[in-house]
Amino acid sequence: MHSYTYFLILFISLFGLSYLDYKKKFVLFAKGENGLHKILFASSIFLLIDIIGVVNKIFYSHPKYILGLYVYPGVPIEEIFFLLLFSYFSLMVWRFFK
Amino acid sequence: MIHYLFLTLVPFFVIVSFDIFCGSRILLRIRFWKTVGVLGIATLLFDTFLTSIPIVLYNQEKILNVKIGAIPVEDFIYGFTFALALFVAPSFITFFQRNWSVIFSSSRPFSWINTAFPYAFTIFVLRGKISAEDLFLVLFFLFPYNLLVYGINDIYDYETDKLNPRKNSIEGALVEPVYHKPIWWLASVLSLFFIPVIFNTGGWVLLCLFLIGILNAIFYSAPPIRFKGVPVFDSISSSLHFVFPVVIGVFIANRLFDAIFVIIAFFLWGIASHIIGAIPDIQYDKQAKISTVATFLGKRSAAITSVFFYCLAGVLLLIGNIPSIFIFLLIPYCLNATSFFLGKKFLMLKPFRYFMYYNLFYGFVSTIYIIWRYIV
Repeated sequence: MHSYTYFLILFISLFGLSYLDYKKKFVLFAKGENGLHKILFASSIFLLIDIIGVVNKIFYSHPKYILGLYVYPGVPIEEIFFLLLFSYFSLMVWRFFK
Repeated sequence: MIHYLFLTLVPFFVIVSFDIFCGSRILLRIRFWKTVGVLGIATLLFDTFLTSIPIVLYNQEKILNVKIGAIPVEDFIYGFTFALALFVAPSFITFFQRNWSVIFSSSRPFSWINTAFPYAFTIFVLRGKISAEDLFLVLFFLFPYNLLVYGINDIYDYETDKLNPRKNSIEGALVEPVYHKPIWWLASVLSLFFIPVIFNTGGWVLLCLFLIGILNAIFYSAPPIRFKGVPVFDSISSSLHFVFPVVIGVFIANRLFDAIFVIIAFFLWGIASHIIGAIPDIQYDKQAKISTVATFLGKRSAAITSVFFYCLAGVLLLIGNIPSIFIFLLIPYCLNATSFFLGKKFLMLKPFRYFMYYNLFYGFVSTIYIIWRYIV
């Protein structure tokens, strides 16, 4: 396992999801879904929660398996991608069950 | 020091209660639970990967240590809330666009300073410094507490306020019934959020004080108690609104017995001020068959009682060895109250308005004095 493996997994998953979305017109490629608003809304709330968690030393990431780029001391860039992936995936599933 | 459970449960309750009370009703849909099922399995797989490599590590002392495989259970609350937040997002945004301006003005922004400042000021004077944790509670005494006092008051006064011309000014706004639920929801969510904070700061005793303060704020206007409809109790309850932040401040600074005279003086000041505030409403209240301390005593004796309590407050400050400037500053209050039975021309301004601005002036002068005395 390399320092960029986790980042790559997130990146590839996001790419795969958006390809599926493009094909099916589910979330970001659908009209009137406001997918981006929802993603940004929930992701920013949970980014804040992550920051609070990191500041209070509840969780932290293993320095060996992340790129080492930080958006906030203790919050790696991977976390942003994780939040985006989680919300994108959730919306895709939500749309799937419509 | 925040626990992971707290960090996940707070957003959980905020968003779940929003969904239940504010109309999005996502939780009632089968579609949501199907999605949650899929997300649960996905989380199980992905999170097992994250926690067993381990890319993400947890502080043993701050999690419940109840684990599913390598995953702390809190992660599932986190995921659940995250998903619900996504689906609730559109109604959440509309909710605030539609209700915010009414909620905001029903909390009387003009009064925020009257509760937040005495709290911070008390800690500062008694301790000589104020920490970041103490400042966090200032947030409570700015918006949430005033929403609890005035917002809920507006809800239960709606029927009578419709008829009162003095409403819809800085002394109050008319709040239509569609806004009642939103106010209740926001006020309770915000207050509940501060309960763990309070408990962390001062333990059970502070928590009890805090709950008494909150209940007093709610039941000032809410049935079945509704203190404001019971003469004498209305003054006491109203005064406690303002004494409450000071008591919390004194308790946090751990100087309860040194400050006891000031607290009682402030309490008496609050009673006197409440009586003054009720006098202009006498005629209207009598017509609407509402009993207040002013209708109970009558205009003249209400004003005299008020002067008496201001003087008593001054005497207590004198006994408590408080700098005399604070006692002299009480004199305009007495003059203002006196003007009610000498006729309104005694002081050029309308007494009630004059009183509201004078409060700010009093706060300002006291602050300058304290700064001059203790800092410069």
